[in-house]
Amino acid sequence: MSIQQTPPPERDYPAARLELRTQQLVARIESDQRPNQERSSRRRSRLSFAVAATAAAAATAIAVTALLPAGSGGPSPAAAAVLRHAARAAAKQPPIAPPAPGQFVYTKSESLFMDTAVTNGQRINYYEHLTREAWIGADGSGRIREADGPPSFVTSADEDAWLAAGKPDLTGSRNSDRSFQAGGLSYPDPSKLPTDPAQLEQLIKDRTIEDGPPGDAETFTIIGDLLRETYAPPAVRSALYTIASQLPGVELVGAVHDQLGRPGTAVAYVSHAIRSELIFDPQTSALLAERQQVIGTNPSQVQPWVPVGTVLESTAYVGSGVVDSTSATVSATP
Amino acid sequence: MSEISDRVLWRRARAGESAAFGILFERHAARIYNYCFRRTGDWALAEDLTSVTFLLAWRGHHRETLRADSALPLLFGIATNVLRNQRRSLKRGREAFSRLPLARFDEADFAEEAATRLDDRAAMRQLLTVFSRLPRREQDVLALCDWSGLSYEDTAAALGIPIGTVRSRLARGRRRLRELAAAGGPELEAEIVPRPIKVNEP
Repeated sequence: MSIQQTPPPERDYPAARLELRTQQLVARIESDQRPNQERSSRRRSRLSFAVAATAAAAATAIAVTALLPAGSGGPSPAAAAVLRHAARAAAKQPPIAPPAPGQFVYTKSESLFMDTAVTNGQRINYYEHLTREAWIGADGSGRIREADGPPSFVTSADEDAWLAAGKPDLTGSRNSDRSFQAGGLSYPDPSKLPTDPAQLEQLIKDRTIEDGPPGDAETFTIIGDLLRETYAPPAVRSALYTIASQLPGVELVGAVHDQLGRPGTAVAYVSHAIRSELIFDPQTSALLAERQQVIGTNPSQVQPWVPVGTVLESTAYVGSGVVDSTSATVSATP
Repeated sequence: MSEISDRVLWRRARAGESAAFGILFERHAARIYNYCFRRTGDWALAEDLTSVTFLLAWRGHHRETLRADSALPLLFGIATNVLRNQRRSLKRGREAFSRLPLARFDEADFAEEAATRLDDRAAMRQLLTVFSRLPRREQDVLALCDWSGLSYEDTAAALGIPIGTVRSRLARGRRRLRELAAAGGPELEAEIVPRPIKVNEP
């Protein structure tokens, strides 16, 4: 009559993956410890002393240029101009009422995540397709529903390898539908954030709003977090674009189309040879999509099998708005 | 032969010996993995959250000395935060590990167990339909004490709350869980996947 109240017994960590997962973690820690653009020591050791000295001087010059594109530690002037424009566009949008108690901020997104499968010692790079819907109430209650689509392949060689391996199942079994009580989905309520860019910037840089390591790359990530799945009021969105327009290292990618073919403007931050792009609608400044792409040889050499140019992750936001229940949906972005 | 203590491994990792942190992972990953599975009902997600937990442990705490003999209470505490804010944590995890793709198959030993794991998943998801109705703070204490077998002291350390609070939350949570299970049993038994539930508790 009453249902089971104790969980099933603990199981082993999947033995076949423990070693790989350990290597991943150790490699990640090592790359954390390394300065961003350090040259590989193997390469340096092959250089004669004189050449090494010249190379070091050149590297310093490049590093200084990269760090100071605007002469004062700001972003690239082109990126700054586009972001200032986005800030003005955001400020002109009609104000939105934050979700009332019992209401939810709904966001629907379509994502691709690159994953690698290993079979018979051969690697297959493929995309996991995920449709995600989030309903988040002001009290942190809500619902998250995720559904897997059929995988696709990064290159035709990957698909051939998959066929040769007998079409092993690549789905991630990510289908899930979870509900959360108040406080279950803690997130910073954007309607309570300051709209003054300087004040908001301080809270972000102090890591008061969201925790994280120091540095401009992380600040760029947090700006993305606050634009994503939060339905930030126009004034807050405007402040976020203003902060991005002053952030060192931000560069302009320009006019792009997202994975659904919608036109937008992309700005990006490059870290560890991976370019993280935010793609927004220049008319409204709404966040349309995000993308991560490998743009150079990875300095830590941990993923040599992923070719330069590969998109690692791409997410398009296809619907967002305030709804009255965790079953109501919206099919357009504001 | 005695194995190297967590404290020594932690100190070596701090000193730059990253492989020492790898040993800590190999030692404790299974406990955190099972904890994350029990909180989510999803084995693959649990594996991702385990990696994120260890990465955040490194990033947030590696400058500190490990005071306890075992790193587990600290890891359980971080895992609890990771579970509480999955939206943020998984995003961070995907960024952190995007350069290090995951191998999803070629695991014969796992295939043999697949049926067991599916059964576990069904059982766990059913239990979570009831469990998720408890206030979050009671869920945390129950999951750590009753499911993962942490002592009151370790649970208090993991969650950063006094031992008295652990006791009272545990007592309240156990009682509430019994009531919910008894009341909701027959209708809930039919459900395999957690369904949306009312925001206001009955």
